[in-house]
Amino acid sequence: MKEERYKYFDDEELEALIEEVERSGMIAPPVYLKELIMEEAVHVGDSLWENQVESQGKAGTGKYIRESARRQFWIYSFKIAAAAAAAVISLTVVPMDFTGDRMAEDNHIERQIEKDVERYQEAKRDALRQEENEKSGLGGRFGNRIWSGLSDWLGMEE
Amino acid sequence: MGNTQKINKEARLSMMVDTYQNLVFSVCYKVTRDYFAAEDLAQETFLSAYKNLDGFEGGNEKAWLCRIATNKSIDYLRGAGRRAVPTEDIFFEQQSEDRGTPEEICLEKEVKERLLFYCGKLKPPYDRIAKSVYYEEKKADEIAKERNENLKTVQTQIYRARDMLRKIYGKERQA
Repeated sequence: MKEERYKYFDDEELEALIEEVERSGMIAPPVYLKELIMEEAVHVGDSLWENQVESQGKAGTGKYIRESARRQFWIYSFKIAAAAAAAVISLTVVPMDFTGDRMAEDNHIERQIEKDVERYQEAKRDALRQEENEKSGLGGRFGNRIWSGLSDWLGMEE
Repeated sequence: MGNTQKINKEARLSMMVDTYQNLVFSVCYKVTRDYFAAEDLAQETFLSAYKNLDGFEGGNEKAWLCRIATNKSIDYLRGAGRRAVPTEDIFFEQQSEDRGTPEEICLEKEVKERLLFYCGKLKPPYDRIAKSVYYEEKKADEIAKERNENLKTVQTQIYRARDMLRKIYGKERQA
């Protein structure tokens, strides 16, 4: 009701008002009005500038976060794909023996080596025994018997 | 908004104020019939224009400013506790009736005389300060030079005098 009394001016009414004001003589505003306006405009301008910088900053941060997330997603996807490819290659290309033949083969070689070592030690012992026999002769044999008898008597071990 | 753009906007605002402050103030006064409300509304009008300069596509700057001024003045009148003033239609009727009368022709003189009357009601030194500012239209630095006083002191006195005048003016209007 109250607002109905104070309607906004339409274009024609506004033009008429301006004409009326200009014709009837304008009133000078207080001398400090411009100073006040300019001081306030500086504050308003600063806050507008800060708001704009802030909103740009926020938009920039959002963009950066989106790009970073996208990049991380692609890096993760690449890692997963590489791991899957490596698994497939290792399953298909690298030969694998699941029957245990390889293990049996390894055991066979080990047994062969052990036999060779035993044979070598046997041959060595024979050679040493033969050499000792040749060196000692009859005296030696007698001496040995005395020495072994003495050792048994004293409880010594060879 | 870059710094250069901000400076350009301030320069443009300065030019607008120089060119249209009398018109905008007078429009606000015509609608509200309140000197100090007109002062505030004129200030708001220019600040609003400053904020929206980027959206203004050129054209009739005067009409644009006056549109803002009248809308703000109407909003002021619509505000709670405002004294009843002529409606738009009544306002124009009154304008046409008053057209050509000495009162209407000498509107500025009338306003000034009324301000001088209110200035006389203030206590010293605010009465003299208010008279210098509102009636003789002197700036703070001029008054400071004349009185050989500190500029800040004069500015403070003007600020206080303005507040006192507003109170007296408001009381008189409500009475």
